[in-house]
Amino acid sequence: MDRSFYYWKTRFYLSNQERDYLSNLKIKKLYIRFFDIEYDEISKNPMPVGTIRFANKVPEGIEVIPVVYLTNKALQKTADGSIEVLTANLYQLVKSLAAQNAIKFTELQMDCDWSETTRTKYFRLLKLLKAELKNCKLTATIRLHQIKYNKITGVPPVDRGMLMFYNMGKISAKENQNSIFDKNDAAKYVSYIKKYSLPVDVALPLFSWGIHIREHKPVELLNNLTSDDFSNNANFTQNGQSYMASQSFFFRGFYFMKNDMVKIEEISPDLCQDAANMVAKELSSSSRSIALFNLDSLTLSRYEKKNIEKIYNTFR
Amino acid sequence: MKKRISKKFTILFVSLLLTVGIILACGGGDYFEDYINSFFNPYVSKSDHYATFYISGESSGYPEYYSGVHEFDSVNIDEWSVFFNSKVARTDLKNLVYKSRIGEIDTLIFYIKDNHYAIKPKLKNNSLLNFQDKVIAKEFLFYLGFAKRCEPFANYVPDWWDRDNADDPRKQTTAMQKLIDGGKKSFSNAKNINIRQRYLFQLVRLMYNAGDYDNCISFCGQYLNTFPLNNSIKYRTLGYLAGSHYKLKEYSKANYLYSVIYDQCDRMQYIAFQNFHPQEEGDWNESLALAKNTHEKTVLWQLLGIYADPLRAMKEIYALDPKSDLVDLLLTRAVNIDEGKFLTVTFYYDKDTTPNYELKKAKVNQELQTFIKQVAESKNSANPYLWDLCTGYLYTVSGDFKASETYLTKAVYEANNDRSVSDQVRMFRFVNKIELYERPSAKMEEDFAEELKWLKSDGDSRAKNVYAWALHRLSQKYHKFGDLVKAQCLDCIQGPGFYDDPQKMNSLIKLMDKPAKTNFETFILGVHPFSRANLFEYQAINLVYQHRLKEALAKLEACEGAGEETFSGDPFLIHINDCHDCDHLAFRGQTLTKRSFVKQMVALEVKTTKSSKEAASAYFNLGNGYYNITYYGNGRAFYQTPLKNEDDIYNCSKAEECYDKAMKLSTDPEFKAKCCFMAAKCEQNNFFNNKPKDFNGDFQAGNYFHLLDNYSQTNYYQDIIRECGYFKTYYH
Repeated sequence: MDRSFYYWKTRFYLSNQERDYLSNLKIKKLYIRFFDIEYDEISKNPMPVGTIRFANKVPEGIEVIPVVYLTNKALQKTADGSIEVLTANLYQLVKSLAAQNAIKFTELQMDCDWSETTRTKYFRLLKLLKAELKNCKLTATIRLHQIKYNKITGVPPVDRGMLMFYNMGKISAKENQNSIFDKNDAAKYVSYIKKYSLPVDVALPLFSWGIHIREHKPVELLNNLTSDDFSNNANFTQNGQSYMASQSFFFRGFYFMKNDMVKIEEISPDLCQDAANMVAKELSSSSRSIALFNLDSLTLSRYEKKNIEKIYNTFR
Repeated sequence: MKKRISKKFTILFVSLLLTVGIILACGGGDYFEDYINSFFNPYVSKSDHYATFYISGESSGYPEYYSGVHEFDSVNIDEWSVFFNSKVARTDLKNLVYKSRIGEIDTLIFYIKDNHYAIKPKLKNNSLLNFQDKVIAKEFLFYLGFAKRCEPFANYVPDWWDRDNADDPRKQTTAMQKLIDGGKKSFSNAKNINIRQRYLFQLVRLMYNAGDYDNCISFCGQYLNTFPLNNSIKYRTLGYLAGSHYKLKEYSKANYLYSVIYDQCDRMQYIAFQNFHPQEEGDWNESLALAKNTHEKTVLWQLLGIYADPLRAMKEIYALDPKSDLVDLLLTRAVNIDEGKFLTVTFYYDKDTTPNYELKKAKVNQELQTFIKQVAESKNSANPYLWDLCTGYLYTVSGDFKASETYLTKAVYEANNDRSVSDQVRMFRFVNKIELYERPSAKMEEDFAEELKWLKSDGDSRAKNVYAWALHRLSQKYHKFGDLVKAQCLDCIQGPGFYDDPQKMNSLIKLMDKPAKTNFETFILGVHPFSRANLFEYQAINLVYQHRLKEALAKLEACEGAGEETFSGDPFLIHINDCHDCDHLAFRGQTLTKRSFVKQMVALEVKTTKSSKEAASAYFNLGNGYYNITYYGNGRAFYQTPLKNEDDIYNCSKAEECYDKAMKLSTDPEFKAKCCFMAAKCEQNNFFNNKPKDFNGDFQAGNYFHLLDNYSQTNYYQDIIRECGYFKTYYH
């Protein structure tokens, strides 16, 4: 079992503390998001967004798996005839980024929440990509709904899947529902994992986010903000796990209206453990990677090493 | 002279919208979009200068992305044309500015200096050469040459896939600096103020593209104000200045400048808005402090109003200057956004629950309503009619119809009976009438017919929304009154079981047959999507599936036009392997309509009482007919009617029964074998219709397959083995 982490920032920088962490936990792999692909309305083409810059090196002995996140919308809007060009461009960019940063990779991962209507294009992209990769492995992220409804969404033509065991449902404004991981939502899907025809690795959630809510409806996700940002601000009053704006104002580039709520959703070690227990039951013992999403010093400071150890050890 | 607006310029502006940071791997995007309904047309505010920011019915967002690459092409030529006092032809200017090469410009300069210089006819004929003031002509050409040299640094579009972008000219910092230095000299030496201004623009843009934001800012600081001219070049220069501040995270200055551009330059209105991004309340307040006068402050607030918070902005603008008409746009946006909450969307997401079409008075924004009324009462706004109109509308939604009427009347009066305002008021009044409608009234129905006709004929999308809502809401009301027929006509989806209820159907048919209908009745029957013939056909088809063939025929014959649809194939044809397309293609006979089919089925039914041979044949054909009108048969379209075409009919029991009877009545083994096999088919289909959960196979041999063993001597038996894969498997 390979212990892994996802790295999902646009600037790759590991502090010494983070390096120690990885070393102490004996982390073998890092799944690093190299770039997203979104659809550009002006040029009417898919294009890379948020391409990573490496500010320091990946620790010795840790394998890097480049990940490319492709939005479903970009797939939808890309014409069938343009899939080949997209694949070629995508692969070129991965290769040049890897080369520029002295990264050798033996696996490339695609991350896309494809749907029934984009299935054909996506699978074609994967096939073309696999042909380019030759001896390199190609893996793809799989979300639970794609396992349960695989007759509709199909099984991607890749070597392995990475099962994302989180974000099962819609982003919820409800106080008692955690949009990141909810046991009841997960329960609806777990039993299908056994029958899935692709061997899977597993990704578990280890992150938090803020949901900006207005009149009980989620408006946007608040990237880069944590509960400290809100608890330390006089214009927010705390209300359980949420914060309420007491006036209308700009804050960190977002605009909050009076009475807007910010719902912080976190994954506690216990909750992550629950998720791990739930999914481990459905997996046969065989070699696989277990990845935590994602590596971030702020998040790590909330988890003790022994909790993380326990989570990994759930999978033997 | 600048060739065209830099693509990079636009991409820069747009790319600022893409957030850089942790981008989480979630489905994103779809969570946050919604369709909103709307009765209020923002064009009524006549703030068409800001029409880009009117909210359309489809989304509460902003207009689609647009590319400003060629925004200034013709304005540019206009300005040069004026510069040359219209003495140089536009086409010549266009060629010089957008098409000529640097070498050609040099040639022109040399030619002006010495008219013996070798020159192509194309250039020689350019009317610039006839321009009297040679000094100006030369200065123009020198500037044009400089501009073209600057162009590659401004026009470069990076290949986003190529990390190196080795051919990005902006990497040639030395070359850029040389140009900047040379340009500064030319700038100082230029005599004509227009040309000086354009040198300034080129330099500012070069510095920006070189990433030299500090120098860009100080250069602008030194010279920008020396040009009083308010032309396109001034604002384009300001755009780069604002961009430089933004790059240095000096948000307050950047946003202030964008507000100036937004206000003063029509062509850059939208792009300036797109770049407006206050980060913290602090920098927002600083932007406000930079405003030189009340007007500039109100512009900033208007931007905030469009960007994030229309009510807050309206209050601020109104406090600063009650007569400012900048609030009008925000008022329309605020009302349109609020409509998204208090109006029901007329889509059906969930078949099982009928939406309630009542206006959601609890969802009206109280603060907004109070403020609008306050301004209306004060009568000191720029356009009082608009405030009265909105006050009236929000009273409609909150259920105070008397107050609504008062304000709507005022609005019409204050707008001097303006047509669009009167139409909008008429729509709101119609909503009032419907909401006040508590018992059926012939008089009101007359009025409703009039209003519905008017709305239907009006092409405006809001009129369509009111029309659609009115039908749903009136239907709801008639349900309450107990008049289910009218309710059904107004909105057939609200009464799903209606067409299966004979009593209700008869009432509806009675209305359709009524000789002297009122205007209202005529109108709603026109709304109702199904005709008399559709209704009779629907009933008849239901009877066929209940095997009540004679009654079915009677129904069809009772209404002209009922059951006229034809079959694509012969419904009395049957094979070992079902092949609908084959039957449809092969069909050459007389087309059977649904009606003539039922007639034939009735005749066959009669024949089943005759001698056993005739009866057997009749039963066999009846079986074929019944089989072919199931999902499995070639006449599946029989059960698809306008009233119901979603549920497929899978039950083959009646067909099986007929085949069984045919088999038992006949003495011919070949024929019996055939009947037996057809019965087997029915049996198999029925098995799969209700198959047990854990059954994984392709087929299940039933009773009839076993019975077929009795016919192993027939030729037909051999046919079956040949054509039916399942039987072959069973047989082995």
